[in-house]
This record gives sequence, structure tokens and C-alpha cells, in this order.
Amino acid sequence: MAGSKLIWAGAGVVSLAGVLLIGFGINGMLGDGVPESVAAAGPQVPHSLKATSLPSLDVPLDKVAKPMKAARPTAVYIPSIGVSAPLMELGLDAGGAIQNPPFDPPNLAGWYRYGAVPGGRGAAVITGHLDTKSGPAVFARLKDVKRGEQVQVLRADRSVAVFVVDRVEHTPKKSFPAKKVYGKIDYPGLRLVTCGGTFDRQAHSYRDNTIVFAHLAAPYYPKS
Amino acid sequence: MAFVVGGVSMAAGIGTASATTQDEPNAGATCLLPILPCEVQPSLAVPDLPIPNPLDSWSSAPTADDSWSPPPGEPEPSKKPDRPWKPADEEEHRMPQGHPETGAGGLVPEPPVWPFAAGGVALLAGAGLTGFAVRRGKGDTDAEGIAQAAHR
Repeated sequence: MAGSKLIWAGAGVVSLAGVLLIGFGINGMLGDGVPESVAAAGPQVPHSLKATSLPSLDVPLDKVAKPMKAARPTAVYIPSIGVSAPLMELGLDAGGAIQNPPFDPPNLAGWYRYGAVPGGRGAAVITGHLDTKSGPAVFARLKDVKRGEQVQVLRADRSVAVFVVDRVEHTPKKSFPAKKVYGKIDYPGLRLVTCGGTFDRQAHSYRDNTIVFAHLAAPYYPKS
Repeated sequence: MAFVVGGVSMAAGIGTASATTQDEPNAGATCLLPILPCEVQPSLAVPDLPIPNPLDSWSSAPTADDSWSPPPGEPEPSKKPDRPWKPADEEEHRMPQGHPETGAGGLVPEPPVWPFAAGGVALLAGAGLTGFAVRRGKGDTDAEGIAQAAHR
């Protein structure tokens, strides 16, 4: 009789464990996903898609340079995280939201053309993907950028606008600070935007945005 | 001689075309020989259409400025103006709605499958144990009944 009770108890415990395990699995499927850290080399992209990287330049950190003449931005470099990517122009979609660069090629960023030109007076905005459906993208390591580090934007007139990072913010998408990102400023600034935070599997979207705020430290004119 | 006959037939308006039209569905071309008049089958109603003279004027050749349409199946080419690049003026600046959507979740690892497998195995084991316990309990009850009957 005691043996029978023991078997009943064992059956109950094992069945309960099964239910709990399956519940744990379902919770993992529906819950948040935390992105894996990306290797220091940055996104694995074909070498042909990478722009030639530039070294960090010797520029004053606190000084804000005068605005540069307008020129089309063609590439963005962030030496500290190994980003060197061509730029495309972004407009607005039918709903009035900013267009996104395509997922393919992954090493491509976009400059919002209804804002300031990088190096010109005002806030220039560059966005890039954190990841694609299969791996890291151009701004996979943007969250690792630190204050004082450089962001360089190559322009069509062969000049380089050298920006210095002021701060990095992580904000929920629900309260995206559009005025701080796109709003008017009286100095040449740059904002780099990508996704961040945890991934909402049901919405197929990251919950946060990573925003890098920078100012123009110096124009650079390479000698050809 | 051939030139004379050809010239006379052309002047008479006898063409060399062998095409058919929808108006004459069964009228096969019978004017394959350019110097002979076309045979018209009397049973068929052939409309009295003027036969085009090859010497008539035709629409002028396309010029370089004429627009053209792409071949079937090819998309319309984009018409990009040949203007130099120019940044958006300040009055053209616009603030986008919402936030950029710049991720697809490729860095997020797939949820593990092992809890489902382990949970399934545990549920099966629990069901097996339950069945065993039921059978054992039934066996004990039968044995008790037999023992009680034997005791009487």
C-alpha cells in the first residue's frame, strides 16, 4: 500500500515537472530576447562592401567647429568600433516615418536628407541597422561607442567631417525623443540611431533605440 | 517586262501583302504572287477597303526627342533629372513620425527547444507511472478480494 502511494506521488511529481518545463519553453518563445554581443570585428560583411577605414584624427574634443560647406555624405567611419560603411540617402515613407536602409547589404547606413548635411549647421541624422534576420549589421556595436570617440563622415567633395561623441542614450521606442534627434540646433551636430534593448518576438521589433549625439570637432581635407 | 507588269499592278492598286484581318477571318491570302490580282472568293463578304499603296507616305521616323515605351515585361525606366545634387533647404526640413525601425532580431538567439523535449519526456513518464499505479492498485484490490473470499 505504501509502495502504491509512492508510485502515485512520483507520477504526480514527474507530470508536474513536465508541465513546468513546457511552460518554461513557451515562455522562452514568447518572451524577450537579449541580443548576443558582437565580436570586435564588427558585422561580417564582404570586404568589397566596406569603405576604406580611416584612423582617428587629432582633433580638439570640446571645441565645436564652424559649419562646413554643404556636400553630399558618402560614407561613415567609427574607428573605435570598426565601422566603415557607405551611405545612402533616406527620405520619408508613406506614413511619414523615416525610411530605413535595406537589410542587404548589411554594411550600409542611411543619411536622412530632410535634415542637415553632416558638417553643416543643424542636426544631421544617420541611421543603420543593428542586425538583419540572420546576423549583425552596420551598427551592431553602436552601443559600445563612448564619449570623446570620433565619428567621421566622408563627403562627395572629398572632405571629412570629424565629429566627437558627446553622449550615448538608450531610449524606449515608445518615447523616442524626436525633437532631440531631428530638432534645430545652432551648431553642426550628428545623431547616429539604431535599435537596442531587448527584442520583442511578438512585435518583431527591438524595444529601445540607441542614439549617439556628437558635434563637429573639425573639418578635415585629405591631401590627394 | 517584269518591271512593266509590276508597275502596272502597283498602279492598279494590287498589293503584295499576305496578312489577314479580323474582318475577313477565312479569307486566305491569295495574292502571294505580286504580279497577279488577288482572288476573292465570292462566298465571303470582303469589305471594300482601300489597299495601301506602298508608295504612300507613312508616319515619320522617330526622332531623338521622341518618348518611347520599354519592351513588354521590362519596368518603366526611372526618369532622374540631370540636376546637380543639392541639400534640402531649411524650409524643406521635416521631422519624421515615430522612431527608426533598424533591427530584425538576427542577433537574438533562438529560444531553446530542450524544455519541450524534457517536458514531453517527463509527461510521458508521469503518465506511465500513473498507469502503473492504477494497475497495481487494481491488482491489490483484486488480491484483497480473493483473500477475503478465501478467508470466508
